[in-house]
Parts: sequence; C-alpha cells; structure tokens
Amino acid sequence: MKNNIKIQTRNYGFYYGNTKVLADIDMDILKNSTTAIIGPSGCGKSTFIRTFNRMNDLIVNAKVAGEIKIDGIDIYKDNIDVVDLRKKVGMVFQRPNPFPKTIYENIVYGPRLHKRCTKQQLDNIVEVSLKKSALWDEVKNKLRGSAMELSGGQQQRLCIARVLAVDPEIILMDEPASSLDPISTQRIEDLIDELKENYTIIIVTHNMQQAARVSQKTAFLLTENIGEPAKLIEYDNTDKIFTNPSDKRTENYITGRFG
Amino acid sequence: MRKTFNEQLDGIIEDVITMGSLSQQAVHNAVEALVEMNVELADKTIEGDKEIDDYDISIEEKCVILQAEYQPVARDLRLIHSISIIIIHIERIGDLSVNIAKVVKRLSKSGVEKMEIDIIELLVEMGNLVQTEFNKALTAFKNKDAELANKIDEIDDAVDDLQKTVFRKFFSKAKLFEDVRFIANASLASRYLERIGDHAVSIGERVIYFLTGDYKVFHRSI
Ligand SMILES: Nc1ncnc2c1ncn2[C@@H]1O[C@H](COP(=O)(O)OP(=O)(O)OP(=O)(O)O)[C@@H](O)[C@H]1O
Ligand SMILES: [Mg+2]
Repeated sequence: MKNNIKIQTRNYGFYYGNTKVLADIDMDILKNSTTAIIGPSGCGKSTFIRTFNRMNDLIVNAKVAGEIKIDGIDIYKDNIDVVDLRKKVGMVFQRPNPFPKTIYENIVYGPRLHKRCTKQQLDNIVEVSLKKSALWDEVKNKLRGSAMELSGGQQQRLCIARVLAVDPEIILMDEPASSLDPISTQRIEDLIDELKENYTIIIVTHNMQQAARVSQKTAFLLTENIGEPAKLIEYDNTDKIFTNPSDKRTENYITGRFG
Repeated sequence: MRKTFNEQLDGIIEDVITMGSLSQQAVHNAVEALVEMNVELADKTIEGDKEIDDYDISIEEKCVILQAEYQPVARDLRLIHSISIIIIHIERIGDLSVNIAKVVKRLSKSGVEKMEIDIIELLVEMGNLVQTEFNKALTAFKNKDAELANKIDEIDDAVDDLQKTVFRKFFSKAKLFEDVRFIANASLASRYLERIGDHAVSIGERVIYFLTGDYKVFHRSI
C-alpha cells in the first residue's frame, strides 16, 4: 500500500509574503496514475503543483509550510539538489514554450545539462522521446527545422518530449491542452493515458470532462472565503467525484453552480 | 436569450411530470373502463396514448441534446440519465393501460356486460394499489423524496398477492365460467395491473439513485 505512494503532503500550506494561499493539504498521490487538480481560478492549483519541483523557489518571499515528500524524502530539506529534483519532476505548461531552436536542440537540451552524452546517445534520446510523445512520425524528417514552425499542438507534444528526454518520474501538467484544438487535445489526452503506465502524472485542468477522462484520482481545491487560504475539499477516485461526490461544495463546483 | 442549463433541465422535469399525469389518467381510465365495461372510456384510453408517446420521444431528445451541449456531471448527470429511464417506465405504464383497454373491448365484443362482483372487487383493489404506487413514484420524483421512493415496494407485495388471488379465483371458478376467453382476458388485465406496479417500483428506484447516487438500489429483488 505505502509504496504505491509517490508524493505525500502533510499539513501543507503556502504563503506569498504574508498571504497564506493554501492550507492544511494532506494528500497521497499514487504512482503510475494520473491525478487531476481542479478548482476555481485563483484557488492555488498552479501554486500547489509548482511546489512539487520547487519552481516556487524563484519567487521572493514565497514560503512552503508543512511537508512534501517524494518517495518518502522531504524535498524542502536543505540537502536536496534542486537540479536533480527538477530532472525527476518535469513540467509542461499551459502555453507550449519551445526554445527558439531546432526540434532536435529542444530535446537534447535537458539531457546535455545533466550528463555527457555521445552524438549517438543524443540521437537515440531524440527518437525515443518523440516516439513517446507521439510526435516522431510528424517531425522525423525535419528534426533540424525550427521548433517555432510547428503547430501549437505539435509544440505542446514537443514540450512533453523535452520533459521525457531527461527521464523523469513525475510529470506536472498545468492546463496542458487549454490552448489546443479538440484534435490536438485528444492526442494529448491519449498520450497522458499511455504515459501514466510509466510515470506519475499530475494535471491541472479547468475542463471537468477532461479531468474525468484522463485521471484516476481527482482533488478539488477551494477558497471558501476571500482572504482565507484554499483547502483540499475532496480527494477521491475520479469516477466517484464525477458521478457522486461526497461534498456538496464539490458538487456545486463541478456542476457549475456556486454557493 | 439562450436558456441556461438549469432552465432547460427544469423544463424537462416539467415535461416528465406532465407525461406522468397523462399516464396516471390512462391507468385511472383503464381501470374504470374495466370495472364498468365502458368501451367509450377504453377508446379514450387508447387514443390518449399517442400524447404519452410524443412526450416520451421529445423528452428523450431534449435529454440527449442537453447532454451533448453541457456534458453534465454528478447529480445533474444522474438526474438526466434517470429521466431517460423513468420515461420508458411511464411510457410502458401507458401501454399497459392501453392493453387493459383492449381487454375491455374484446370482452365487450364477446358479449360480457359486467364482470362478477368478486372479480371486480379484486381488480378494483389492484387498480387502487397500483395507482397509489404510481402516484408515490411520481410524487417522489417531483419532490425529490428518497424516503417516499423507498416505500413504493411495500405496496407492491400486496399487488403481487392480489394478482395470485385473482388467478386462483379464476381456476376455482373454471367450471362456472365456461368462457375461456373471459378468463384469459381478465387474467391478462390483472397481470397488466401487476406490471404497472412493477414499473412504478422501478421509477422509485431511479429516483433513489439520482438522489443518492447509490447503485445498490438496483440490486434489491422485486
Ligand atoms: N507570484 C505571486 N505573488 C503573489 N501572489 C501570487 C503569485 N502567484 C499567484 N499568486 C496568488 O496566489 C493565488 C493562487 O494563484 P494560482 O496561480 O496558484 O491559482 P490557480 O488556481 O492556478 O488559478 P488559475 O486557474 O487561474 O490558473 C492567487 O490568489 C494569486 O493571485
Ligand atoms: Mg494556474
């Protein structure tokens, strides 16, 4: 049971300066599954998942309270190497953000940073990552072409390939399909479904049906009163959340009724 | 202005309630036609079924469109899903009323003017009980009352018993009633009434499901 847990938060809270935006979050996130984080705009979903790879370290005065453990190790302990952590915990953003370089360069950037690789190793990483992200067939003949010339949906899959190239264990996705058309969205969703076999995926989405389609667990965050921190209202199997949530507030949110 | 999801859903609920009362009226008329051997009322029941069928189709269509447009979840999903099934039961109750009305016409054609009083009494009692069941089912739906929905199958046992009594009565009277056609038709009528009760129970279960989200309700035996 316990070794099924990849990420564990206890008494987790988050401050921007003196403002506490998240509080009291106890969550066990399971290995090799997709967990969806839902909640109204501004409730702190992005803030929450960014703490899993310490992206928030860059923000002045931001502070984490409580505990976040990955594989049982507290990631906010002093002796944690943040570069290693970010290799282990990759992130895909709402807007595809490829570097203004070739497709090939985009993918080998990470691996080069982490270790010395031969040309052949790099070629291999490019091919494997692009295949995993279901982009290979579309770009295999233009690897030296600019990443900026790909469509939005292709760019997003390239960004996923870039994350996969450094061989992460956890992939954070912050609204990864919100700027994509339905077909590209479906490809990303299919991809998430395949990737969860080997990775632990946490996805933030505003699309309830998407959360229902891609995830096995869903967490609902809500700021009940303005000025107070958001809390974890309900965390359960996705099927349960979307057919019969236990908490009235979850029900009101997912059915589009508030209050 | 475009109707909101909730306005559309409320409209569908209204339609279900209207359809339910038409079907209730059909049961009432069918039972009355049966005990009075009233062919005119039987014809009226048969004609009235068209309107129930129309509601069935239009409600189903509205549910499909609403799901396509809004992809509802949780309680809304359970409600719309349940409505799609509840209207099938209401429509079937309408059909069973038509079947009873046809029994009346057949019996009347074969010269039966009035049934034996003890048979009438049994059928009237069955008719009353299934109407109560059906009424409770519709009220539970309308008022979102799981407790009431839970009570419907209590009556259903009595209906089942009555039907057995009707059958037994016919067999004991087999020598008296030479007319096999009469026995067959009247037995059918009691069977149809019993089925109406079953559909009412099923509606109640759907109400419980949409209110509680608990699938276990379908696993109880009826
Ligand atoms: N750098 C920052 N400094 C101060 N406050 C911030 C900062 N970033 C976010 N916040 C505040 O923290 C709260 C949570 O923001 P966050 O971006 O995590 O929300 P979210 O749930 O991801 O919203 P959305 O769905 O709109 O993306 C908001 O009230 C926001 O204004
Ligand atoms: Mg966000």
